[in-house]
Amino acid sequence: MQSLKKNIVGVFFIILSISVVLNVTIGAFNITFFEILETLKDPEENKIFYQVLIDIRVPRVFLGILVGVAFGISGAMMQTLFKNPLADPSIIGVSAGASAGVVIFMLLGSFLPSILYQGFFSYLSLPLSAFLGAVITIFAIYKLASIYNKVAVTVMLLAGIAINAMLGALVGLFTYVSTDEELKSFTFWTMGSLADSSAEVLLIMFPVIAATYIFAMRKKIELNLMLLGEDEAKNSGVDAEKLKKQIIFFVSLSIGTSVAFCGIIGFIGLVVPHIARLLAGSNHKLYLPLSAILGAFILLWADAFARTIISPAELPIGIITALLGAPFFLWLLIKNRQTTLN
Amino acid sequence: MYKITNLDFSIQKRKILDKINLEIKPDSFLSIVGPNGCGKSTLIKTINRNIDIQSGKITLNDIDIQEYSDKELALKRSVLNQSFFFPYSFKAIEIVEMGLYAYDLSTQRKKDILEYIIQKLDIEPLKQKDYQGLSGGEKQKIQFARVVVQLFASEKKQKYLFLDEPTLNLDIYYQYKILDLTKELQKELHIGVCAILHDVNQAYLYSDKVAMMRQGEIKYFGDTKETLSHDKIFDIFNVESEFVYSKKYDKEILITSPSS
Repeated sequence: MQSLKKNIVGVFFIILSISVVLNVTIGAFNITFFEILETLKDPEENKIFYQVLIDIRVPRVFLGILVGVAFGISGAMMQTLFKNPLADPSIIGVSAGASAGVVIFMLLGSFLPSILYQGFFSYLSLPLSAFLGAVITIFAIYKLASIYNKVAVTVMLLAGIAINAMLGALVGLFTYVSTDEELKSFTFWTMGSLADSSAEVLLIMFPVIAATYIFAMRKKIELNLMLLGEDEAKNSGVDAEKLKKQIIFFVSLSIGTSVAFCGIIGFIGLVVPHIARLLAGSNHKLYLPLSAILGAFILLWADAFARTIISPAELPIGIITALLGAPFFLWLLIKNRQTTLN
Repeated sequence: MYKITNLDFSIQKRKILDKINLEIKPDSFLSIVGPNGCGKSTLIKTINRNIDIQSGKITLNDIDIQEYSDKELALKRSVLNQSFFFPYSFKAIEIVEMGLYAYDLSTQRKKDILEYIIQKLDIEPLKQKDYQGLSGGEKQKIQFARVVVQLFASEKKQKYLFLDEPTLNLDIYYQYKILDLTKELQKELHIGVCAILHDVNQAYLYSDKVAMMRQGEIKYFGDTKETLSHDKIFDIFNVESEFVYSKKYDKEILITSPSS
């Protein structure tokens, strides 16, 4: 059992690598593994395949990995920060806060010079406003929900309901008043999509998510101590106040950027860390990398379903993750109603 | 030395701590006793910055405790709070190792320290077990081990150990084992111990000084035998008590009995 735990990260890394290759072959039309090799050997001969691979499939798989890692690792850190397995970015409203940030920015944007919200600048201004929305939300919920260094779960979940409802209204309002073709639709914000996997998106997401992952891994011992309780962490020498702010910063950054480009993809941050804990235990040394890998894995396959099930049309990926995650959430509630909610 | 001056703490006008003045000295064992809800835990939490100071002053070696970083304090003192909810899957040894966070140690040195404490506390059979599956008493032993390694990891002397009901949930054998080890640490490393105890006999057997609290105040403070006199115990707890000499063990013990 012990050796299994140690190797579990490696095992899932291999499974993820196989999934990556499989996902490149799946799409509106299938490209076999053999054809991929052929195409790479001789791009001129297989021009259409080459274009589909390089312009569509590979960037999309890469984006899926980035967003999956972002939600997996952010969910893991949030569950540690709130000391509760129900603290998922989409449930407590952090994702909603991020998209509210973008929507508000877009509403105000019509009064700003168009250069700020169109073209390349939008790749910076959108994630930034999403980040601000996310930071404010996490901070507010954490302050609201913590009483004498303990988190009141009911307050946390109720605040999430309020924020999610507020976002629904904002986005609804926004889609009514806006006529701009360029701006994304209601379904995009509430259900998410990996359709825009342009080079700019990838270039901005990669450093953000890499930085979050590196931060999390560097703080793995401190995060373990935070599980003992904030008082215990402080007494053992962890600067808990600073660490909490750093966690909020990095979670907001990853969630904000992901939401700005891919909309809200719910429940990944809930399901993934939970499975990771079941498989590898709560020690962040294994729990964090496994959450990252599982996040990428689940998101890749959710996306594979989303783009093939009604092909050539696409389902919003959030439908798949919600179908998977919402029952899981209920199961967690039932399982933990004795301990977690009191 | 810890010096606490005029410490007050209240929640919604209810006084939890009332003009507390106290000194905690190195190489000395101070017990705090008192009825439930008299403010003992709040006092220890305030001294260790787990609760913000409302009014009054706490200094360690003449420097305000607010001036220290969390890490600096962690190198000078260690704290065992009352047992807490920890529904996570860790090996017991991993929990103990968390006590070494503040130190930069080689893997070998870490291993040696952990091994030493595990032998001392007789918890070898527990170390590879999942913490979640342990009994209340076993968890308490592991938490005590974690707190002790934090003190033990450096040669520096004159550190402090705060214990909030260290004997909670333990069988009698381990109650004495933990108190013995605490006393041993105090003598060998000249540690200043400040422990909340419920058993006045244990307070009598192990302490050098005793502080008796009631309703947020330190009512009595002084040398052990003087402070744990019949009249004072009766005043605080409303129970009878007597020092009894045991010929067989050649020592005095403090027995208590309900007041008639």
